Amino acid sequence: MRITKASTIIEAKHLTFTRNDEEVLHDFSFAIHEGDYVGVIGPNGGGKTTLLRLLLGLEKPTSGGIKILGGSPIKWTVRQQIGYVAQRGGSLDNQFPATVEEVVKAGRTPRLGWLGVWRKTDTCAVDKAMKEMNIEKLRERPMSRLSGGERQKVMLARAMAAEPKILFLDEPVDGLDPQSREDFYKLLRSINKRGVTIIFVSHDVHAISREAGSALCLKHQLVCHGNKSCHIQGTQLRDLFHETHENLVHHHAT
Amino acid sequence: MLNSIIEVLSLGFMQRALVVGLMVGLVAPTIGIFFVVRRYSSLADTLAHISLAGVAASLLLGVAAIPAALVVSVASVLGMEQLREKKILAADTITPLFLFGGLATGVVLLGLAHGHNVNILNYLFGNILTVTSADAVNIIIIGSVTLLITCLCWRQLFAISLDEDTARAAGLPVGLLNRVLAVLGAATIAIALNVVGVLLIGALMVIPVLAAMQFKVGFTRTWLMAVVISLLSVKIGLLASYFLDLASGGTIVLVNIGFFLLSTLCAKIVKN
Repeated sequence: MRITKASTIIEAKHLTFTRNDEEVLHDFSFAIHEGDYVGVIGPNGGGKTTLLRLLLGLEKPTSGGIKILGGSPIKWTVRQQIGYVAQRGGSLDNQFPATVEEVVKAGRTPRLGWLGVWRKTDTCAVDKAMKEMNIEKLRERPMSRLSGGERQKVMLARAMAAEPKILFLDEPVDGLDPQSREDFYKLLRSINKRGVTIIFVSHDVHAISREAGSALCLKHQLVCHGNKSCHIQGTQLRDLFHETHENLVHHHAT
Repeated sequence: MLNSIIEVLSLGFMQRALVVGLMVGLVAPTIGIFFVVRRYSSLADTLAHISLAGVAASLLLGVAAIPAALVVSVASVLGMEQLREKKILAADTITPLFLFGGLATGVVLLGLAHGHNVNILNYLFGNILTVTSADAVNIIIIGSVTLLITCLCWRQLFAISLDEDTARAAGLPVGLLNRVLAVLGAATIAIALNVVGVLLIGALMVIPVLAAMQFKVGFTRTWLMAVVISLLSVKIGLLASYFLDLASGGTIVLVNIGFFLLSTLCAKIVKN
């Protein structure tokens, strides 16, 4: 059996980002391959969310460059292939008047073009995303009447409605109860199995250790990027978090 | 009573007032819903005050007030967006600067236009019964174009209202859509000048939406309910102002507030 090496889907070179004269990220490079499941970990204020925003093209690096699917993150054709789930459902207010279906459909909007004509394929993509997240029964329910776990499933369905090749998530399970977390991770595993590359930011060492295929550990600079195998020692974690954690071990299929 | 209403509605100025009122009643919550969910309500007030400068300029130059208010509001709102985007000034500095700047310019220009037989109260508080045929034509044209553009951009405007970062990351032109929404807001304010006046325009855009939001339904249903509330408010307010000899703008807004209170009560009953 011939094994082909997965192609590079995200490439960052000598990435540096400065905000208000303070260096948030300092000169680091990494590559992520197609189908990878990468956990981005680090302490609060260590630059995790900034890195995600740089990869999404929401911030511009001070120096260095990023290539996603061979192009700039701000290129329209690149953005069409990206899904994003923001922390705690983004800035969506609890009073925002929207049903689950309306929110999921909004994820499909960038694919519609300027006249915004809704086609049969769009309905299929939305239905498929809702079915996968098991939220079909919630279709007509207002967002304000959802639990935290249901809300995050809707946000994931919104991202998946665009049928992305890469899915970015910023602390997606923050504030959820253990069962909702487990359900959410299960969904991410099944999405990744279909070949979607996943990059998720978390400060939960155990979740990254258990769920992600590789870890990108940062604290203003790249501490460790586990590609084939990544073994972060307790001392490094202490350095990252200023507290004791168990070792973070990744075992990968060779 | 019914005969009296039919008789009143056969009057030319009342028919004009009704047509104009219903157009504004349709456009105001349609744009207002995006302003409310995005917490842009203060922008509506700012634009209303800026439009006064446009009205004053029109009186000095001897041109129609509504197109002049539209031009000044659109130019100002695009300037505000530019300043905000380029971070030349802090966001919370730009709004009061334009609000008071617009109002002050309006007051100065109105002072200069003192000899032009100006009834400033009509522009401050509105008087829908004084709408001319030319005003009605301007309102219908600007209102129809505003509705058409909103209809075309509805899904995109909804997506950026949910979450700007997610929409931008997915490839929507958020900056452009923000400008489109601001211009649509400016157009709404320009056509509502005669109906409720500069000081109450924000109410027409916001209160019907807040009333509909009490029922906690989806976005499209909230919009539909807001439009119904707004149209009923205009019609009831207009007739009440005629029969009771009240100021039309204030009466329409008070009816709107009545609907808001009724909606809050109904929503609580439904919930229980």
